[in-house]
Amino acid sequence: MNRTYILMALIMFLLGAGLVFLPQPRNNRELSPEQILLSLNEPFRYISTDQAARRIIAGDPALLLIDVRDSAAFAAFSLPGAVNIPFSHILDEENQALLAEGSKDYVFYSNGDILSEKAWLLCSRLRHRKLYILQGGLNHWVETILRPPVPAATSDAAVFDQYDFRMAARMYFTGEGELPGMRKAGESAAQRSVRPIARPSGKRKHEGC
Amino acid sequence: MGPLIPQQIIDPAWNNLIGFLVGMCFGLILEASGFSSSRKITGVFYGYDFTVMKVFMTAVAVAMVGLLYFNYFGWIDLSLVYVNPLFLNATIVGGFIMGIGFLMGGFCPGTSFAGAAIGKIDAIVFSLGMFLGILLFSEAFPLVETLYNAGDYGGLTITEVLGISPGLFAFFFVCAMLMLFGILYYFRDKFRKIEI
Repeated sequence: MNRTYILMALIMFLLGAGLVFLPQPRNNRELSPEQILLSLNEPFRYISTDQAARRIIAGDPALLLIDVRDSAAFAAFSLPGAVNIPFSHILDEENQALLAEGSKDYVFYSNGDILSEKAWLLCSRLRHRKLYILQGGLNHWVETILRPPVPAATSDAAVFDQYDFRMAARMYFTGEGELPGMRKAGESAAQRSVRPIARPSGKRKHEGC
Repeated sequence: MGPLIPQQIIDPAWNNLIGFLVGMCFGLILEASGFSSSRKITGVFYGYDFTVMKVFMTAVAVAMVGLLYFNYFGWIDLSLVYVNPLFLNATIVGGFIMGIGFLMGGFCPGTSFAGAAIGKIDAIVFSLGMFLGILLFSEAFPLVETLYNAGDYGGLTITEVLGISPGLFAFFFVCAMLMLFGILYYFRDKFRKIEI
């Protein structure tokens, strides 16, 4: 056989064999700065504490809360069902694999907004889908769900409904009864405790104020 | 860096010019490989000449291995490269019809133009017949529209179906190709010799 043919066949074989041992090809999957700017102006990337509480209570299987604070803070306090991915480990392979599944709504939260915003930006740039931020973080969670402020007596009925929900959610999350002075007039604590938690917004009960 | 047009490194207006230049080179290679002869092309079917198979397998292997290395070095992003969608039913029926035409006429569309370019009368007739076929297909399109759109699998690649890495598949392909070439070389005296 012609020597050139043998040489070329050998080169082809070696090049092919080399491909077996090369790592998976790296692809340019990152979002461009223009696309990131567009998605940053998108208000739907936030989930309010009320929405999050509703979905936690309903046991929504499509919700995955991700605590991006460090593990000590996570151990001290965290939301029910949350997983801990400290921000410094967010690029770890198993964490990226979790986000890459894209099967759930991934909601980042931290004490405030800043760390979860960073995590959202980083993971959005890596083209992960369905990423959200818990608006206001755990600080806002405490302010709204765990210690909801009593609405003014002249408030709209919708505000009272929201307050009712928050009080019910507070009991759900803390197991505590009502704080003195936060009960609405004309209702006993016993009535409160059996109130359905998730109520369709269309059907509003006319009670209280 | 690449692909150049999807990454907007060069303007899409260059598409046709690049296609024209690549087409000219393709025609040149076809002619140089002897594909302007219908006997050479049908030789694969009758088992006396395997040049067509060798040239096309070599082209596929070089392109495949080359693209995977380019992808690894970051010169091209394979995830941005357009993958032709697979219409399984239409491909089977169309492949069968084209195979018959291939064998009867002794050309495929590309080689018929290569043959016509050097003045082969059978290639010119074949090319005209192809245009006639295109006209008939267009007129009969409402009848075959269901078949035309059936079995859409999108831009499927063989490595996705098999679930193996592209590099491993390329290696298997290269090995199979080299083994086939070796066998063809070993039995080269057994084939009938036909003057082309």
